[in-house]
Amino acid sequence: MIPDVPVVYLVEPTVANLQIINSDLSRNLYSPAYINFLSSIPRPLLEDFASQSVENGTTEHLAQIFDQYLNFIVSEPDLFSLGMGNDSYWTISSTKAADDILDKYIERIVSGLFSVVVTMGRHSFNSLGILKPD
Amino acid sequence: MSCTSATSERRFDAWTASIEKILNLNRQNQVSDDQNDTQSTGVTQTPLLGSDGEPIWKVLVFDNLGRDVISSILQVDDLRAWGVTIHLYAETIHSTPLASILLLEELTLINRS
Repeated sequence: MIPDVPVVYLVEPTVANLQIINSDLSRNLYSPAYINFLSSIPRPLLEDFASQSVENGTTEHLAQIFDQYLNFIVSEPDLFSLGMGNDSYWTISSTKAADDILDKYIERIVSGLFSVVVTMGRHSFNSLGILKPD
Repeated sequence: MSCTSATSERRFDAWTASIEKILNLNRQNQVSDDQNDTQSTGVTQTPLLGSDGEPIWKVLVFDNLGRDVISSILQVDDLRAWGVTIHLYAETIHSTPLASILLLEELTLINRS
């Protein structure tokens, strides 16, 4: 294995991704690891990840774990998208959509909008600027 | 109305700076050289250089959304400038082609010589 290669993860906080990260680190592929989650990782998932790391003995390779609040895509200075796919409009407007699917969509939208506001407030000199009427 | 274009540019810079900070391993804000320039927003970052003047080399791993977020702002050449030697797709990690591993080995040998 090649030692001392830093790795930067920029992923969504899903169970599958965390398993991949843990398996990579337990195979000593990289060190150190900087893990960045595009949205906020739920507490139970974080605890599972932590206990897996302790079990695998990979905790010394974890340099940073951050919530980045970046689960949106900016294509122009004035335009952002939540990256939810082409069929999101159809699903939300459909009368046949199940409640739990709609809930997931709403959660995703809320999380995305929250990330936009957080990111703007993080660096903006006038963080209230977005609330002013144009 | 005339202030909106400056505001939107600043927002774009803020979003750009967030991603660049991640690639800089979340170190403290590196301010660009034109700090004296009053037009500069001051939030843009420069690649973090290691002791040998080269950017700190690193592997970047992302999933679907991560790829979309990054590709809308950085091209492959830009990634090289930021010290990203190879970018991998999280779902295909288990089947990393042999060529990619060889690339990492070559770079390590060059760095050590």
